[in-house]
Amino acid sequence: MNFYKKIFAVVAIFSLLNLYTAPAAHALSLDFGVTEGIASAILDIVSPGLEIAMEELHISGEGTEFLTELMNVTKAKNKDPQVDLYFNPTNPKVGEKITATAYASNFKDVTTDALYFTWYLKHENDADNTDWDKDGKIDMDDYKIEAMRIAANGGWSSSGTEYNGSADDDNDGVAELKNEATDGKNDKTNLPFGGLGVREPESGFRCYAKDYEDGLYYEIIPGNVSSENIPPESDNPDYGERGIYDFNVAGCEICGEGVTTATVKTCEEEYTITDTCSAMAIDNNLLWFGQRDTLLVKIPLARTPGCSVCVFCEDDTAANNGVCGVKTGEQVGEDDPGDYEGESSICTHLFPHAPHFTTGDGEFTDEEEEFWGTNPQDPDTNDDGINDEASVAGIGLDTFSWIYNKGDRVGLVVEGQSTISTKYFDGGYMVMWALPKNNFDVPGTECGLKNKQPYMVTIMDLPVTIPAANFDLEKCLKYNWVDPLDGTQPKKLDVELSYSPTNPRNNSSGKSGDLLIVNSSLVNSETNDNQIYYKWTIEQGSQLSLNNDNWTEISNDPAFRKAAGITYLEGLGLETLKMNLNLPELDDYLRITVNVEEFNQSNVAKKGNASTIIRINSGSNNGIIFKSNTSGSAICEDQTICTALNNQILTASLQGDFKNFAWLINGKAANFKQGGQDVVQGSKQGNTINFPIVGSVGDTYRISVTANNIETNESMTTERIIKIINPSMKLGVSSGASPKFRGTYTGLDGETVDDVSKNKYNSTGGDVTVVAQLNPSWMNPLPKVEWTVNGVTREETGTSITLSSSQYPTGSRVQISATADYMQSNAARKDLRTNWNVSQFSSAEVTMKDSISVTMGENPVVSQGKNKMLANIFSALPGQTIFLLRLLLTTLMFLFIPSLVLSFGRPSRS
Amino acid sequence: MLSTNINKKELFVTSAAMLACLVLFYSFPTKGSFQEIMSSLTFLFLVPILYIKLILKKNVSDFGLGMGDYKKGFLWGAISLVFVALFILLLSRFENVSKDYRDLFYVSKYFDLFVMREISFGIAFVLVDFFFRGFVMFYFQNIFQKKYFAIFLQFVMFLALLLLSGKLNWSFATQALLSLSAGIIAFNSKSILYSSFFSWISIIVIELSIMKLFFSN
Repeated sequence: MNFYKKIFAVVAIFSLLNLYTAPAAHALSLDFGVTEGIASAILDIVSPGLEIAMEELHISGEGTEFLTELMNVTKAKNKDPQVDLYFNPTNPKVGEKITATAYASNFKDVTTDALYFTWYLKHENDADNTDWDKDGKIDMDDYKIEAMRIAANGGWSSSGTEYNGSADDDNDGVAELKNEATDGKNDKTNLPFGGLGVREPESGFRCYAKDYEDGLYYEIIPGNVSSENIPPESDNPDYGERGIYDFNVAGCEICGEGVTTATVKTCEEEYTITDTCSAMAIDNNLLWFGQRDTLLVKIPLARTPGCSVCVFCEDDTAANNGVCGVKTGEQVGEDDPGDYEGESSICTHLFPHAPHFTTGDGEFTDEEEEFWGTNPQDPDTNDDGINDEASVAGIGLDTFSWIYNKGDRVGLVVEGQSTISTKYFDGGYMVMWALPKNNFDVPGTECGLKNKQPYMVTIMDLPVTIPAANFDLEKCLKYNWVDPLDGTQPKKLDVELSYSPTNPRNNSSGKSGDLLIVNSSLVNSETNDNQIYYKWTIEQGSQLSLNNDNWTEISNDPAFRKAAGITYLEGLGLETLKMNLNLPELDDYLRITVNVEEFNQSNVAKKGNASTIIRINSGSNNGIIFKSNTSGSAICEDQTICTALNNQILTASLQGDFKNFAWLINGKAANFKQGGQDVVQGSKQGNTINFPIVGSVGDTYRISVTANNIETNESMTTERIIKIINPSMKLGVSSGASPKFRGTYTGLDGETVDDVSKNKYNSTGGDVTVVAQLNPSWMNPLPKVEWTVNGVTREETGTSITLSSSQYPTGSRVQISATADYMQSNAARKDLRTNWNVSQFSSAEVTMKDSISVTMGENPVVSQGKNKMLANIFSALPGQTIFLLRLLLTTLMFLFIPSLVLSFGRPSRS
Repeated sequence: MLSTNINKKELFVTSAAMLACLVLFYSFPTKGSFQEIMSSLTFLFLVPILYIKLILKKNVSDFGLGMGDYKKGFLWGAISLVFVALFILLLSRFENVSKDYRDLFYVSKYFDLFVMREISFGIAFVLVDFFFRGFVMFYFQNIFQKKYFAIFLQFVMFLALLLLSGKLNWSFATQALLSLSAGIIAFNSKSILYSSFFSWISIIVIELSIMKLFFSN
């Protein structure tokens, strides 16, 4: 029993496979109808056992059904020839060489030598295109010749070359076929269809095009199929009956008054006729007349079963709902008879030909070479390993280079054998073409499969129906142009902004505020900055907000721009924005926006923008307070850069409610022992830090701190700069004298500035008080000042002395000088040595001195106007006197020396 | 080349004194216009005169400080003006002359400044003339066998001074020309009065011409 079950199962499986693979069998050139009939019979017989067999063999019904459903549509899912184009560079500049590379796929032989690559090139400017074939118009043939010339000669210059007419010295022709192949245009080409080296099948070359809507492959045939080769209707339920039908459209006043539009709709096309009753529209599928009540429609071979032809009137009332249906009209005539009986299909090479010559005929004479610009003495002018005529035919020409000009467009059509075999019982494969954009059918144009009609041939004694259509690929080339710039140019510029300092500070007093510098950088710019247009916008806001309503533009205020020192806000190459933060009023936040625009040679503007929000600190101290170890109060509060003395210990404190402090001194963590001051920090840094200032005059310290706000946890970083200075003292007069006037500077617009002396004063009457100004003013301990007046030491030791004018004669000059030594207290110096390793020798005293002179009494002759020279002389009398004295002495010596020399050897007088 | 009856020691010392005068004139430290004037007066005029009187023990009239031959003076002066005219013609051919006379541009706007300038030139010419033509040329004309060599000697010395000052421009050419013509006038007229006068006239004419050629609107 088990044995018979197994036999039964095998037969059932065989039948099952036959049934469910019927569609596949059809695709494999077995007739559909025969296979289906057999499968149906077998199914009836074996179905009971089928279930047993499937169970025995663990065959899932659902899985099998899925597979067979897939196989049903296999015939429409083949991989069609494709070609992709890549350009290098992807964004060419005018005058730059650009190379297009074609990647062909799904051909039977994708080695490039086996395919025909026909390039065509069109320039935007009509004057740059050439009527190469001299036919009076510039058309696709000229575009092909333009490209294939460049490709064949590879840029070789033919100037000065002699071409000898019909000679072919370099023997660079190409031809393979012994017999001339069928060629719709030129029957002298001896290059096989589908690629070099392809043998002509027994049934002849078969060229196909695919309908991407229904997925079928149509053999390209000329005209109509012979009536003898038309498949029977019963065998072709997909096709309607051909013929010419008369639709009686009475009641639908076509071409009558008031109604001027009627629509004829078929399964494939929809045509609208207007009041052109006398016009006759003819196309491949329809031949119809517009008469008063008669409309003749030629029924095409529609594909979809049950396709109807309907005629609709404009006023589509219920009564005039159209006349629909195939054969509704009375057939009044036969369609045009055809004569195609299944011989070789229409195959046409698309490569160009020189006028009066044929590419691929095996002869490439000098005259032909002259047309293509190739070297008559070199069989391979472009040195690509392929001879010249083969290059013109595009054999293996998968790359094409030319000098790019703005608006250039390029196209390519690749001819080769596809991987899809024909239905004929020979070694033939469908010869097909690939276009970069796969535009093989453009509705409303001549590009597309026309006059679809199957034909029937007998193959292996079986009738086989093959879909066919009229198709001219040449009409589709213009719908497959490729612009090298398509999709390659990013339109957006990536802009990034950065700014410094990181914690800018505004000083509302009008001076010493930070210089805010905002820099922009472009990531994908292709030109230099001078060709990029920048436009800056500055807005202020009181809070960090993304809502545009919370920002107010201030850059449009001329007063603001003047106060901030901003000259320009927009211009070419304006990649940096600088503004002085010395503004009387400024909110806490600035939003800086930059819009950039770049123009390149392709005249495509690339734009980009970026914004940044900057927190602005106000005040001088950025929140950090300094105290010196010698001064109990805060120091340099109003100074942007805090000046401090060498060998000083400072305490920095951060104002505000913060936690989690991280102090840095010159970028390094201040994790050293907090010596000196007794500051309890525990195991972490606090809001206060002590540190010594040790270095040379001019050195700077950058004190920065990062902390978190106690309430919001927001991180904040701020910093201050300390600069080491020498302690110094400058004498001045607070009352009783004024600086000596030296002259006046006159500016270009007439404003005058007085030039006064810094160390010469003239008494204005009364007592003169001289003060010593110490720098830094918080110097502690205050040094004792030793005053000297006219060489005599005074008793006062303070920072000022008073001179009584009565003690000095009028006009006399009093010399006042002061000396002071600054040194820190011993305790501070000991602290420096003990805790900060600063030797006491380094913290020794520093001497400060200065001197001035005061001329007592009335002012001497003021050097103004006409008495300027006299005043100059008298005021500088001592200097001039010394000069004259020097001159006199030189003169005397000058006379003395020669006299002495000449006196030697002179005879003495007796 | 040199005369036979010369005192070589005197020649050596005098030559050294001349060079010393020039060096001191060029490099004596001065500050301000007053000191510069005093320095020029001293080393170009006073010191040579004192040297002539006290060291050489000669009469200053032998060194050009006299009336001399006025006929020859005016004759050679007139001839020099012809060369000045040719020089002006030459200047007019060159476009870049104006850049060496930029101060003339400002002077051309103010007549009083022009007068002051030319007066100061006159005074300066007297000093320079006395030193180069009076002191140097008249001394050396008694040294050389061919006396006119002294003209070229003072010319070369003057050129050397100009070169040291680095003034290689059209102004330099003007002064070189005047130096040569003044030497010829002084040599023939035996007086620096005529050479100074005609040098002064020449410089006025030249500067007026430059102002007319290049700075007139």
